[in-house]
Amino acid sequence: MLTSAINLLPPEIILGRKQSSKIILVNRLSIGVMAILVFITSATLALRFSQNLSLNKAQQNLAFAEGRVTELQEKEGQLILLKARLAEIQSLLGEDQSKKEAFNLLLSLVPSGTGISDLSLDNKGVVAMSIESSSLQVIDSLLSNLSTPEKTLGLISRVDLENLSLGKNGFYTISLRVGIK
Amino acid sequence: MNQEKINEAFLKAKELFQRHRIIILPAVSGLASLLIIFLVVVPHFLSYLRVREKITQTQKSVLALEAKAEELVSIDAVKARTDLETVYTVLPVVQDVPQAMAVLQDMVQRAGLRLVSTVYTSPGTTSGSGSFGLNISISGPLSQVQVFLAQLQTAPRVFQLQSIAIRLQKGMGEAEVEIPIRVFFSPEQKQIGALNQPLAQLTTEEENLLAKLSAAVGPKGSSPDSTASAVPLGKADPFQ
Repeated sequence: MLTSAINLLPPEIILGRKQSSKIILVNRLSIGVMAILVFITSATLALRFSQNLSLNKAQQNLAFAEGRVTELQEKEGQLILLKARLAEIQSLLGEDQSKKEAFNLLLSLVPSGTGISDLSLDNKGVVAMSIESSSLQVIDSLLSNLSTPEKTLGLISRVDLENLSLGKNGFYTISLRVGIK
Repeated sequence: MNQEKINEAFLKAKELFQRHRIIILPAVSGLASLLIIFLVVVPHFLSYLRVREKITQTQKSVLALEAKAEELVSIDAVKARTDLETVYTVLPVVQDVPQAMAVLQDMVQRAGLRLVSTVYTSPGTTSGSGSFGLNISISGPLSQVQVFLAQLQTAPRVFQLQSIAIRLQKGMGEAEVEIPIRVFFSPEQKQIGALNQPLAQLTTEEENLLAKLSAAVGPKGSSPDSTASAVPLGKADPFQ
């Protein structure tokens, strides 16, 4: 006895039904894609909308902070002026520091037993000094002090002996020109 | 005739649609989807990324400005005004020659020296700062001259030593000294900070210098000024 099924429908109807099922599948896929697209678009627009709210809030905060700083601008201006003025004072005060240091150094290097008769420091940093002493050893000690870097602390660039003489009173007079760095 | 042609065309289109329906519908919906993606979704997404960066920058600016505002609020307004008065006393806007002369006089007296003469010399300009000269002649012990020179560094005006000429009187220990001094002043500067510029606080060196200058100027009204001068001065500033 035969058990296989025989479709008695005409081939045109079978073909039509296959065609219809394909069309239904394609339509459903299309609707699915459109639905996903609508979802993505809605999500994007919602994200942008909430982001705009965040941006507005951030800009309001910025305006408020700028307003606070603007109100305190006078204090800021005072601080800036103070710093500028201090910087100017600092630079002006430092310009003659080496002259004062060298002057004090030279006075400290003159040994006891000598007498300074003249001492001048010009604006180019050259010291001219005349010293009297009864002893050549003391004068030698002075010259040695002036030429020892450890004692001059690197402030003296050159020492020129201009004159050495013996006066009638028995005192030696030495004239020096000392250059300051 | 025309109506028949239109009807015929419509029927042909309908037949074409029915025959290729399986391709046409997906193609149309696909094309519409692509258009929506490229014309709506992508631009909005790119805009979202740009705006997110902008929000981050704005929030950073807000934090910086709030920190700056807090720093400014913490500044003592009275001290700031006093400090400004101090620096403007030490480096004034105008020459104020009488004040400078009075300060030097006071310094010479405190060093135990005698002021022989003071000579005003012509003003000059040093890169933004103005200056004039005061040539002073003093007499006294050499050691006190050193004290006076040290005081120049902490004086309530900016004095710059130009040169020194010392002549010692034999046997007396007294020195006659001529010291040309440059006295500085500086015109008014208009400085307004930018809103987004960070606040520059005073450094330790600046604080130390300010403390020295405050000590030199002293409490308000105690530093020598033109009204306290022992020398009759006539006009407030005869050299202008």
